[in-house]
Amino acid sequence: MIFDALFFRQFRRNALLSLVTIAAIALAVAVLTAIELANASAARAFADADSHLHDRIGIQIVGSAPFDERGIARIATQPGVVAALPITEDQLLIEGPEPEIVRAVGVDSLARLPIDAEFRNERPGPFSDGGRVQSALFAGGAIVSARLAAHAGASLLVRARGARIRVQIAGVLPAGRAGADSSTVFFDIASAQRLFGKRGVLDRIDLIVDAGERRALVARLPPLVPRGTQAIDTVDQRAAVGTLRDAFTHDLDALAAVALLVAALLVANAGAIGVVQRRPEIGILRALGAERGQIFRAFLAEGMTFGAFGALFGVIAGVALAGLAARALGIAVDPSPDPLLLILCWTIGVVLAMLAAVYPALIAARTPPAIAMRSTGFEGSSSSRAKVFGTIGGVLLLAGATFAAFSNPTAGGFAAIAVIIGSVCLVPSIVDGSSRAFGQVADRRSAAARLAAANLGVTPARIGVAVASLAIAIALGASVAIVIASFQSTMLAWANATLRADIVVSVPPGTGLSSALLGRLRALREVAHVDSKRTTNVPFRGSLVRLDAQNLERGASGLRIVSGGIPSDREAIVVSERFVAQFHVGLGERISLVTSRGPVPLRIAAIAADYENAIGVITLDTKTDRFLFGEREATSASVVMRSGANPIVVRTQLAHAAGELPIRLETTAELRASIVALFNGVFVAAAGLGFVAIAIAILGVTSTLYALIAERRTEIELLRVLGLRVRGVRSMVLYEAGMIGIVGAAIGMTLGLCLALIVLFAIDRPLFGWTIGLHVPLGTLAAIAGAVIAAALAAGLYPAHVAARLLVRDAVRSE
Amino acid sequence: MRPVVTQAAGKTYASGVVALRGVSFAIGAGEMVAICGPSGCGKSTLLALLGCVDVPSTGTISIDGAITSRLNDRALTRLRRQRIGTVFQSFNLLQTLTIAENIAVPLVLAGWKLAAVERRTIDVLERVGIREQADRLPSQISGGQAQRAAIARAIVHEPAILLADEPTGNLDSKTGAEILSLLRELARGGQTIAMATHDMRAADSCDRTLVLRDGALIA
Repeated sequence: MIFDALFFRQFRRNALLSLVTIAAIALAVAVLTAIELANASAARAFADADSHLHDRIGIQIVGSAPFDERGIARIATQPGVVAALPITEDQLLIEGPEPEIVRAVGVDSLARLPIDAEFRNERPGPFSDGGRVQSALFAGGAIVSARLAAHAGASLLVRARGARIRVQIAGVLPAGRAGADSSTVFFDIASAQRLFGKRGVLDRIDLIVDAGERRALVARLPPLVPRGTQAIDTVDQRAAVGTLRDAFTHDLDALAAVALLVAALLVANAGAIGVVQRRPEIGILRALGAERGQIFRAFLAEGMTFGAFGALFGVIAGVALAGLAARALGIAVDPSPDPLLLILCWTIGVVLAMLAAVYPALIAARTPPAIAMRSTGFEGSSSSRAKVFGTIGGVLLLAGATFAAFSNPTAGGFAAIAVIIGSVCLVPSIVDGSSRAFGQVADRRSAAARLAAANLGVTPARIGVAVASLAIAIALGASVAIVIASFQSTMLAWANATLRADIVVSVPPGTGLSSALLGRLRALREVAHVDSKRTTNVPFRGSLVRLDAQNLERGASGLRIVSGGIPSDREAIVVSERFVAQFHVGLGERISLVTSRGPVPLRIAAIAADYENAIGVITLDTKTDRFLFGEREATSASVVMRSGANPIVVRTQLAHAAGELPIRLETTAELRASIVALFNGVFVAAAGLGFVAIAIAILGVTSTLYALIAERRTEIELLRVLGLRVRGVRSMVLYEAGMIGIVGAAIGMTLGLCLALIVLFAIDRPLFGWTIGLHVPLGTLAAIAGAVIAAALAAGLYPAHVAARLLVRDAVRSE
Repeated sequence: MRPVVTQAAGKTYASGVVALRGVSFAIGAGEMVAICGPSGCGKSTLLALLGCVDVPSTGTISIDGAITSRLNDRALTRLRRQRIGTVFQSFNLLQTLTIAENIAVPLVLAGWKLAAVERRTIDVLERVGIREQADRLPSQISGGQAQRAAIARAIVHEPAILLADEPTGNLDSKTGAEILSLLRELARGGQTIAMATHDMRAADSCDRTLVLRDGALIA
């Protein structure tokens, strides 16, 4: 009890250090909790809201024309089918000053509202109640985007199949939701069938199936599906946003791990300072008969207590932070977080704090009583350890480089850990070297600057821990900035290349865009250019892969080539990066594709970036497609508008040009905007976390400087006796703070770049099969470095003030 | 068997400084010995070796028959905890603990039960005359009271050997005399006492005086 009191009363004696330590753990656990909660919410939200997306609908039953709805019964009862969702699709003209043609989707609102997840988390309002929304749908109402109607209860005047009717708005879909662009209107299927003259028929049946049964069902369904339809396996056609989420979930987990490491270093720093400050007490206890194990356990218990309190605050803060992170990712947060997840995060915080306390506890326990009672014992031994740590650091950096070269996600993870720990080990040596360098460049007339440089070299191990935690926090911010900037610039480059069109026109499976129709589209006054493409699924090595046939000749393919070149011969194809990763093929290799002419070997002439399709895409030239498969109609067309044209007006013109053909129109500007918004949101959330990590590390600098001044009190008083003025003392401490900031920023930026390279090229590329181009946001990094150095100087103000107040007469008295 | 026996004990630090050169002497049970000499002569080093916080580089030191240089850290710790009491220079009370808690530390380290710790602490507080100061912090009591507390902590576990480093060094003459009287009383009770001191009055109160100069025993 007394033993515990001896250590725990330090909380009050050194409140600043204790609070910084607790805050560091709280931050890390908050980041961890927020990210885990946001990830869990994201997974749930995607699982709920995607029934109209392809990525969770296992199989679709589609035909070239509407088919008898009675066929759904025998499909729905098949083993492995979880739900069979009848869908009908058509188009509506919304009347008004600027008439607009929109996509109308009829869904079975009794079975499942595809957008019901959106309403669960809506604020209370006239249509926040799902039951009332459903009633309004049954009465012929529609759910529309916020762009089309501001509020539920309003009405829209529409024209459907020539009939002019007024549609009541049953609910408004919040903006930016996955799965529906702002030009989609949802109806209950019965209303839609009535509206579009499709009584008793469906355009599509979406099947939600057991994952294990999917392939068997695809094989079993053909004789069961309605005449003129086919069953298509769509599980591999994952939406780009969903795949992006996976990538970010992965990277955010890594971010949480780095935050935990910063906290661990700060706990170790606080522990090491505590050992130094309590050296006399440890010596007395050891001299009185305390065993090493008792000292070790006391320091470990102290770390555990810091961990328990810090992690508790962290979990509470994390639940609040989760809202911010989830909003950044455009998902709804679960209002009742899983208690087991919260307990797990708290436990991780406590265990982390205990592990971080092991090092200072070992130093304390291993200190012999005679050395512990001398004031120079600890640092002397630490200086000698700096060389050992330096060697270990060098070896770990080499190991990190070796792991990174494997280009394997697990090895990439090890590489990141090795590089971080290696850098931390090198920090005392770097601080030592920097001390000499600063000493060389310090103004010869400034005693304060030279003393500050010398002070850095005297205590490299302890200053090193503060520098290391600062460097890791900066590295966290820098690497996140680089990774996000790289993702954003690459994705936008891809989007600009592949979505150069303003509007994409597509047709239901089984139908096509005739040459005549394409000619009509090209002839429209507002249309500058139309590129057509045929997309089909072809069997390849047991999977259905997407086969795109388009014009590759003009360099207008919209493909972003990663390696190789656009094929010029009939036997050559382009494949996506995911295809290469999925089927372990390479550039120049020949693959066999089943065509109308039988199996044909085709050469991989180029590899293209693609962030949309999880299985892979084969792209070939239209002429090659015609040669291999015969004359086939295009399934989509990319429309580039003339400058200044209004996309809503052009959509309407395109729909008119299509006549009775049920084409689907998508405005790419919305998709491009959603990509930018997604990255901006993630950047704001990640930057916020990085900012807090740096702030905590800066507090660590304050506590370290404060502790060092307390230790060097006699020395500073002696300097005052020898003639150093108050201003000189203050300057000396501020120089030290500034030097810590500069060294921390330099190490942090270098480490941040290394981590970003590892994440992008050693982890994400093999994991997702993507090539992300490195983009270093120099302006952002310079701003981070400048802010950190300024903050480090600010962190030195209070210790400088304390040091400046030390009096000459105290030095004389203590002597 | 004499509780303390040194044979040609010497101590050279890693820096190369020779603090003690071949010192040999013995202290009997209940004997009170002063170790005198100018600053830097090796008094504190000799006391550290006798207190088992350090071991000699050459020669041997025997505490209750155990050769300290042959013991590992755990055994040395046990020896310190069970057989030795130390009164440090400048009292060395733990500033975050009350006087009673400071005195109880050796008993807690030895694993005594809480009730026994409390009983024994109160006994010792009364014996050294600072019962009233039990719940105060070291910063709240006088130098004489702090030295009594330090002595109380050194004797609370009834060690065979009591070591004191300048026990009167920070005290006025009246308080110093009271402390010497207390130590004398302990020696009469059978405790072996070795005291490093500059104070000739303190040396005079001992049974015998060892004089060190430049690390060597000269008398």
